[in-house]
Amino acid sequence: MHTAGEFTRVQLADGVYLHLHSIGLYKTVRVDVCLSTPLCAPRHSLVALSSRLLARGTHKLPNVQSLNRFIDDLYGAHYSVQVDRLGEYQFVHLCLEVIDENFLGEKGILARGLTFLRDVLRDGNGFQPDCLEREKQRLARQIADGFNDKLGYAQRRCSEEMCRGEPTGLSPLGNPADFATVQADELWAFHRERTATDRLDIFVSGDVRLEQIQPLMESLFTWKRAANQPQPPPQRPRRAGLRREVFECQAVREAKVVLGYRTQVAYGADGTDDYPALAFLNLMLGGDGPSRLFKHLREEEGLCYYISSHIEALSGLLFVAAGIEATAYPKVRDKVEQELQTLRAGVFDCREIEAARHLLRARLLGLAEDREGFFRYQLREGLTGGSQSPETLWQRIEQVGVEDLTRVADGIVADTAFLLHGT
Amino acid sequence: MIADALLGEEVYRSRLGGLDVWAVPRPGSRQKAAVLYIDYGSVDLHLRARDSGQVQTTPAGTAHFLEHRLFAKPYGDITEQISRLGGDVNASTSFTSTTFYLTCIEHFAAHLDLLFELALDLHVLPAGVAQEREIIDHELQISCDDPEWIGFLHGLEGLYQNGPLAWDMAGTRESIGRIDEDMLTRCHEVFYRPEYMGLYLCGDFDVEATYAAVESTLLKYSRPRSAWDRVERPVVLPTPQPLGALALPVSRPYTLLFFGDDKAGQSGRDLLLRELALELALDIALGPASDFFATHYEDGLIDGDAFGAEVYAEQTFCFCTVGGYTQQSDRLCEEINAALASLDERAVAADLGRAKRKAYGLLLRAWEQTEDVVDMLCSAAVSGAAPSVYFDVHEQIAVGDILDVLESCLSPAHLSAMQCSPASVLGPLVPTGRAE
Repeated sequence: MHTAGEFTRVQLADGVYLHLHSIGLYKTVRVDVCLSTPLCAPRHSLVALSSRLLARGTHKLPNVQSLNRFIDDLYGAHYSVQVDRLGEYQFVHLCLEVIDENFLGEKGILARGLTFLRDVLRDGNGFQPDCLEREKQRLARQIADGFNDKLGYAQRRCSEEMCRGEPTGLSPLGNPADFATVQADELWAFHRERTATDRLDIFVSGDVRLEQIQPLMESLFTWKRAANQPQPPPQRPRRAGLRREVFECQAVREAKVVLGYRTQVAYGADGTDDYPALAFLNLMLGGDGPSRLFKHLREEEGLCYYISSHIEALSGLLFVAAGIEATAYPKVRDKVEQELQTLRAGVFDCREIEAARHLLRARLLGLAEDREGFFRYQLREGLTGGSQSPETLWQRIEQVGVEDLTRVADGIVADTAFLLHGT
Repeated sequence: MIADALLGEEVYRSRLGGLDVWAVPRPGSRQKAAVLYIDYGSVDLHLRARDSGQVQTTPAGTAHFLEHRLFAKPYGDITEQISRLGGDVNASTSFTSTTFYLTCIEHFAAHLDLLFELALDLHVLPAGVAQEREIIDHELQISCDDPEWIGFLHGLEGLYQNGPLAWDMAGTRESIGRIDEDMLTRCHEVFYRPEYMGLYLCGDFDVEATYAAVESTLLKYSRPRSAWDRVERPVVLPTPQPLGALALPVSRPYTLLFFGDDKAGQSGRDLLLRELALELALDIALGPASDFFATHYEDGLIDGDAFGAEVYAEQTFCFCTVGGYTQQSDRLCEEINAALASLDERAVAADLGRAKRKAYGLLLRAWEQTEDVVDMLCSAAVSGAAPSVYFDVHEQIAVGDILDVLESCLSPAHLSAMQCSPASVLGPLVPTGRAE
C-alpha cells in the first residue's frame, strides 16, 4: 500500500489547531476552517444565522458581487460557508479550494485565499440589520426546502422525534421560531465571543509543507483567545426511551420509513471503545455493498425499493431507512428487528464477514485520497480528542471477533420509528 | 501509445480488440478508477436488420432495463463479488449512454475482470425480467416525488415535444411491460460490442500488463455479429413551445428556462468550443459575479444556492437550463431574458478575462482525483477529442464565439420555460414519458 501523504497536527494557540495533510497528488490546495461549539438551543439558531452573515463579505469585499469576483479571480476557487453538525457539535465551516500555484504562472494565490478566510471569520462586515433580516428569510426558506428531498426529510424528522431534548435532535440550521428576536449587534458580539472561546480547527490538504505554511497560519489565525476552553460535551450512551412510532401524512407517492436505534457504543479517544465492531455490524446489516437488509428485504421479499443503514458514531445512534409501500410498514419494521435478532444471536456467515472486512479496508485506506471524507474523519478525531489514523482504525477492525459483534448487537435497542406516507 | 499529455501526466490510448482504451497512469495514488462506457442510451430505440434493412422499434426504457438486468448473474448479484474485493461499482443510463463506474484501491486486474463480466455476460430469465419490471415501475413512481426531475422532463418536452429526449430514461409502465428476454438479448448483442464501447482508466497500474489482461478478457466474450445493427442517432434541433404550469409537491415555486441550440450537431473541437462558449456566456450574464446575480440576490428573486445554469452539449443535441427556486416565476423569466439580451460585444469583452480565469480553475479541478480523471477522459472521448483540446479551446475562445451562442441558443426564440408551483394534493400522474 502506498503512503498516502503525511498528516500532522499542530496547536497554533489555545484551542486553535492546524491539521496538515501534505500530499502531492492534487492539483489544488483545500482549506477547511471549522469553528465548533456544543449544540444547544436556542444558541444553535444564533450559530446558524451568524454563518449566513459571515458569507456576506468582508470590509474589503463588502457585497456579494465583489466577493464573488474575488473568488473567480482566484481561478474559480471553490468557496462555501456552511453550518453543519457532527455528533453533539455544531460548526461553522468555511471551505476554500484554490489551484496549486505550481500549475499557474502566478504566486500568492493560497496566501490571498487564507487571508480572505481570516477576514471572513473576524471582520464582521456582514452583521448589519438589513442583511440580517434578509438572511433570516433565506435561512427559513432553506429549512423549508428540506422537504423537497423526501428521504432526507424523513431522516431529520426521525432524529428530531427520537432525540427531543438532546443535542442530537437539534438541526444545525437552527429553528426559524428563534429568528425574529435576533438583533445584528448582539449576533456580532455572540460570534466575536465564539472566535475567542470556541475550538477552531484549520485543515489544509495539498502539496504543502509544514514549514511553508505554519508561519503564515500563525500570523493569520492567532488572536487573543480565552485561556479556559469549554470542555467537550460528555460522551454517554443514552438509554432508549419507550419505543415510539410517529406517522406523518404528506403528498408523497412512495412512503419513507426511518427506524432509529440506540447503541451502547460511545466513540472514544482511548482506542478501547466498541466502534470498530459497530462499524462492522452496520456494514453487514445495511451498509453499502451486499447487506442483509438489501438481500432479504429487497431482493427476497420485495418489501422495499431501497434500504440501508447508517451510524452516527458520536451520538451512538443507528438508523435504518427505506422507501416502501405504506401498507408494508409493519412487516418492514418486524423484519428489520428479526435481522437484528439474528445478529444478536451471533448468526454470521464467514463470507459476509470477509466481505464487510474488505469493504471497510478499502473505505478506510482510501480515505487518504477522499478529501471530504478525510476532512470529516480528522474533524471527528479532533473533536473527540483522539488521534487515531484510518490505518490504526483498520488494524482495530481486523481484530474484531464474532463475540465483539454479538456483544455490540445485543446493546442495540429500537427507539423511534418514523413513517412518512401519502394519503 | 502516448496520445496526449496534460498537466504533467501522460494519456495513453489504444485500440484493444476494437475497444477504445484511454489510460492515465498515476504512480503513488491509492485510488484506482475505471469507466466502461457503452454508446447506447434511452434515445436509441431503433434496430435495423442487416440483410433486409427492415427497422424495428424497441420499447422506451430498454437500455436502462438492460443495465439493471446485467447485475444479475447465475450466482447472484455481481456487486457482491466486487464488494468482496473491496471495490465499488455503479451504473447509470443517460439519453445516449450506459456507463459502468468502478473504484477500488487493490486487486485492480480482478476488478476489471468483473467489470467486463458485468457488462458483457448477460443472463436473462423470465422470472428476473418480471421482477425487474416491478422494480423499475416503482422507480418511475418515486421519481414523481422528485419535483426537479419531473420539471426537467417537462421542460424538455417543451423544447423537443413528445420524443425520446423528453422521456424518462427508464421508460413508462406501459413500455417496460413490452420488454422481454428476447428484446434484452437482442439489444445486448447489438450494442454491447467493443466497437461501441470505451474504457477509461486512472491510477497506479502497469499499462502494458493491464492492456494484455483486457485483451484476453475481451476474447473470452467475443461473439459473432448480430443479424441486427444500430441505427445512427439523428441530430435533434429544438422546436420550443410555450408550456403550462405544473403543480407538484414542492416547498415553493420552481422555474427552469430551457434554451435549445440551433447549431447542435457538432463534434470534436467544435463541440467543446460550443460547450465552453455557452458556459462562459451564462457565467457572464447570470453567474455569481454578474450584475444580474448581485441585483436579484439582494431583492430576493433568487437564492444563491438554489439558482444555477447547466449546459448539456452532446454530438446530437445541445441545450441549457437556467433557474431554480423563486417566489416570482414570471419575473424570474423576464429578468433572465433581459440579462441575456443586454450582453453585447462590449459587455462580453469587459468580463471575458474573469470568466476564462474561473473556467481555467474548473478545468484543472476536473483533472484532480482519479474518478474525476476517468470522467474527463470519457467526456473527451465521447465528444471526439483528446483531453488537452479542452485546454486549447479554453485558450483560443474569443468574444465572437460567445456572441454566436448568445444568438443561436441563448435568446427568446430558442426558449421554453417550465414553471412548477406547490401543490398539497397530488394530481394524476404527470404526463411525462409518453412513449409512443
